[in-house]
Amino acid sequence: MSEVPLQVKPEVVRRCTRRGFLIVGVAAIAGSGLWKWLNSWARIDNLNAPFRRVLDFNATIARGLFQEKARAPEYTLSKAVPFFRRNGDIGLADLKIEYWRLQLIGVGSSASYSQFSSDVTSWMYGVNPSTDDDLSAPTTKPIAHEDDAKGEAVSTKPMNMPEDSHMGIPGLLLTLEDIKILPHIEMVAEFKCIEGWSEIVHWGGARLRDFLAAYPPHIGNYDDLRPARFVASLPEYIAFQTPDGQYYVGIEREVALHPQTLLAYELNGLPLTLDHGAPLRLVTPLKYGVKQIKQIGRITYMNSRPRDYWYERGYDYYAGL
Amino acid sequence: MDHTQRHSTYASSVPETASTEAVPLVPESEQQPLEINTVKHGLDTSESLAGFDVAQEGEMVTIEYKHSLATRWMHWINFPLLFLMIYSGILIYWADSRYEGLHAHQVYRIGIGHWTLFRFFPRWFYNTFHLKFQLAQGLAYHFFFMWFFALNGVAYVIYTFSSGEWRNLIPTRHSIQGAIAVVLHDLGLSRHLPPQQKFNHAQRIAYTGVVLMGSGSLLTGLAIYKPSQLHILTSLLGGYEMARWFHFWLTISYVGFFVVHIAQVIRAGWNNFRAMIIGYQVVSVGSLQKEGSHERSSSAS
Repeated sequence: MSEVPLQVKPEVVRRCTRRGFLIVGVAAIAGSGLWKWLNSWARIDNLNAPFRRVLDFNATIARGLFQEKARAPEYTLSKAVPFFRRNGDIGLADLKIEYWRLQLIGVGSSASYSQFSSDVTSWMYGVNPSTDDDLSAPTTKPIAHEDDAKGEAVSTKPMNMPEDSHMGIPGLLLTLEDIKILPHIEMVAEFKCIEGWSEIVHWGGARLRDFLAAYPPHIGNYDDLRPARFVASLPEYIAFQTPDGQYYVGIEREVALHPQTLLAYELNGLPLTLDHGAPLRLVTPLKYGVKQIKQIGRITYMNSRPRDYWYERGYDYYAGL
Repeated sequence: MDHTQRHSTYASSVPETASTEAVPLVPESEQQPLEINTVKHGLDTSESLAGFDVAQEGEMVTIEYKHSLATRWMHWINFPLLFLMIYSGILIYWADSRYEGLHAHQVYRIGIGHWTLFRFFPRWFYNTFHLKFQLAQGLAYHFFFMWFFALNGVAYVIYTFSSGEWRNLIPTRHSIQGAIAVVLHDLGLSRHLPPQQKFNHAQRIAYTGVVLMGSGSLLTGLAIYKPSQLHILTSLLGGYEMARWFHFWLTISYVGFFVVHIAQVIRAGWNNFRAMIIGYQVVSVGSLQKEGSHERSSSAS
């Protein structure tokens, strides 16, 4: 220590000490007051405003800094888990896959497509008899993966359509075949759950960007399909909902255009099982699993931020990785 | 130097101690330009030191400036911030711990392969601390306070280097040997205590280590926070699960550091603790030792 010792009267030390601990006391009170103050703000979607604002701020920084340009690592097939862990059953119904349709809202010149419907929201999804006939009976769980004790909690339920489900919105009603004719992509990437676990999963499906190119929001003329104009014409957000509307997420345009963002219909080379979101789910290594919605029933192109199930329960909207 | 002066603390016992000591008057030539020193130290300005007069007779205590104002503030600001980061981290881990027994976890555990000895954290842990399951709140706290934790840490590193204080903190080539001697002494296994500087070698290693741990937490945290965008960083750390493993064990290490730190602070005593509040440490009561000749408390704090 280079400082030179001082000689002082004891009172000076006593005074210093008193003053020091007074400052400590005031700082401690101020600190706990700050903590209470931060937690006293009104909640914005179930999160106190200061924390909600900082989460949004963090998202702005991440989006501006990274612009979703990176590609997440992909792995060889042998790294993929044989049985992918199940988690979350909100919005999952025991659908009859043959009666499934993907409602697409926001496509340009939708009436020119053969899949046009004047009200896509009135599509009646079929539910398997086991749950359809007797709602009080225990729901049957499709047995696909037996490794997983958590799977007991994951079940498919009889579909409970919300009252406002028929909204008279024109759009397209697409079949799984309409998705499957898009270029097929296999991806082995790490799936990350916001609850803290991760697994490397082998997916199969179509790129969402190919889907967007096949069903673009507006086609003024064919120049609009050139990359730059195509991107500019795209919606800011894409909203996804389960057929019963119970689960819903929104993702940003850059994520939708990312080559690793898939509309997946296969897991480990086999069609998706109901508990993993049959027949079609969203997969992207750019987001936590909460955004990778299972059993998509409706896709909507939007320029405002869509509703998001877990956002409304206090989580970050962006949830980007 | 008389050994009784070593732990001279300014407390109720001081007058008694002081009265037994000779009180040599300080020759005029050894007096220091106090105003300059005190202004530089940023603590005792006119108000607290104006009244004293070095040349005056009577009991005097020798004090020495130990921790700068910046160090003290950053130290005490870090305390609640680190606490909040650990607290919110526990809330996040709990989302995973809920499935204790259902999933043999590969990350937050003690074990090898499929064999797990201990899984973090068991149910009783959350019950003991009356923690409710609140993942969303935990994530929000973590990603809110991370900014302040990082800024405070970066400010501390910049300050330590720009002030030259790093010379007291960076381990030297004698540090491993010196630290072993200090640890053996503090455990009561050896009577030999190597000569002490501002921080002993065990302290140098501990305090430099904890700063490295802090930067490790920031890096592993970033690797977990944006594993896709920053996949190069994540891969360098051995992948996502490995980064989470490092992040977790760094946190456990903080808790270990904290326990030893508190034990050593208690052991070192009031004078040493007070120096972290007021900046000054009482070196001796009633006499002015030649600089550098006095011993300091052996204990890290």
